[in-house]
Amino acid sequence: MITAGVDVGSLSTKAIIMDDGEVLASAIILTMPDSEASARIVMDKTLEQAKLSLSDMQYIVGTGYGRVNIPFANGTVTEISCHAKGAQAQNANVRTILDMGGQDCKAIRCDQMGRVVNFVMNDKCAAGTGRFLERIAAVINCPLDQIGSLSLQGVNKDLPISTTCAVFAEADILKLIRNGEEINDILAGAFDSLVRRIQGLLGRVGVEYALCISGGVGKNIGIVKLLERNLGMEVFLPADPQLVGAFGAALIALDRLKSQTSSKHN
Amino acid sequence: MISIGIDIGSQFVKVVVLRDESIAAVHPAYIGTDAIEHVGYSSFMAAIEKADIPKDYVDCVTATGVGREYVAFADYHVSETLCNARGVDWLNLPTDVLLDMGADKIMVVKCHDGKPIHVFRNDRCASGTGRFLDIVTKPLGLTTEELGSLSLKSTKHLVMNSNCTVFAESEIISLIHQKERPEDIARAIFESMAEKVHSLLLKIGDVESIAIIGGLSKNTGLVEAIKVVTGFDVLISQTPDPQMVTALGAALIGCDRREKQARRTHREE
Repeated sequence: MITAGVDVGSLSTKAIIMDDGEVLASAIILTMPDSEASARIVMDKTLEQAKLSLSDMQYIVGTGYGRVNIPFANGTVTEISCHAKGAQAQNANVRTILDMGGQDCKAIRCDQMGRVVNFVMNDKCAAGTGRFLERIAAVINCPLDQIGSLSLQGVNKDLPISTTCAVFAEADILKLIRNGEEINDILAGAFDSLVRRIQGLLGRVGVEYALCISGGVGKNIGIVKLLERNLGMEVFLPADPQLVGAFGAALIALDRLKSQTSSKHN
Repeated sequence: MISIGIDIGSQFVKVVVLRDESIAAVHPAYIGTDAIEHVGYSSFMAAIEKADIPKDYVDCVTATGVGREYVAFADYHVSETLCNARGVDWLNLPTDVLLDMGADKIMVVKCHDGKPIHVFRNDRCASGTGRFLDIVTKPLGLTTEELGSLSLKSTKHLVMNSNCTVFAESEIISLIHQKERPEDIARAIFESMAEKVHSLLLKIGDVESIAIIGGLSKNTGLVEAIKVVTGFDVLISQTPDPQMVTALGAALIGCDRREKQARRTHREE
């Protein structure tokens, strides 16, 4: 059974095509102002990779912020359910998922079937989201994918960096640069501020072993290591954290297809 | 008596020179990337020069604002809340509630007899502050003053959904993409700031009129939005510049303290 999951996020759009749960192809693009076009482009890319056409897809589930704008999807599911499903399918021990995306952050608890038990989210404030990291990278003029490893080379000297507001944190960082602090140490401080914020969110649902980090920020090694250290717990990182939502969506598509066919047989 | 008030904010240094309880000179200066200590001292010197007062004639210096500790040569370091209340009292405006809107802060103070009795301020969030205004104005390619006068021409009511400065900036960019007119976007920006102010003012309760001070009170668009959203009478100082009121309060408090000291020494003698 061939199914697909399309995850239209605030920053990037992701798609996965699978055959009975085996991933055939996947793609990630930046979300454009037109989310419908973004969904189409990422789907075409994935289809091309899998050497399939849209008519071969037996069920497509859309998820993410832009899920209502995917005309070719057979159904939509919230990204919270998709992340829980996707993370749990990759590691059966997963009970807590931290989904850190471009503009929001969610702490999710699930059961042994990957069903959502509880969740909290922050989508009102940029502190504690991928946007915070982007702004920091811009302020210190360093590529986003390098600030994680740089932060690990720094020493957390308890530099005063706001944990509650991305804008004030940026101003604090500028001040520290002016005072001649090392970039690595500033990054270590900024990451500490971000992680403390995330821990607050996790604390509200409670962390049960195993913890999986999904979403684009999961690719940032600095955040992952710091969170592991603060929680005293090893974190499970999926093959590609950014694709967990689309992966879960494709799995939910498979479940739906199976229940459809079985109900037809009955 | 010659008393100097220095208010070190997060973007500007403001200095007021007071000679026998009347204003002899005011001097605002942008901090930029210079060391705060330097800007503080050079602004102090520039202000007394404007008033034509030699340094030795200065009786006391009072520093306030977030950076007040940087003014090592000050005789007194006093919180902005006290200075705001004292400064607004001197203006003699018919209200006992003041709203201070600066680069990083929004503060509402209920006063009695030149002293603060209730204070509420924004909680470490840039939403509604001067920094918020700077950031959300940038995509429109205008200055904040231009945005202010432009907003008065708005004919369409738009509502902003984001409180967070970072997300609001993205929202403005999408509004521009949706071909909304700059004047309508401008009004939406100011009204969202006014909503933030209103929620702080509601904590005080029983407000009919407010005096606005701080750098943002010079923005016509913001003041209009605050009037519309809150429905309160808004009073703004003409002289001195409303941005200078905190420094004025500092200079007045310096005077008060010196006089008190003098009375005490007199009694002891």
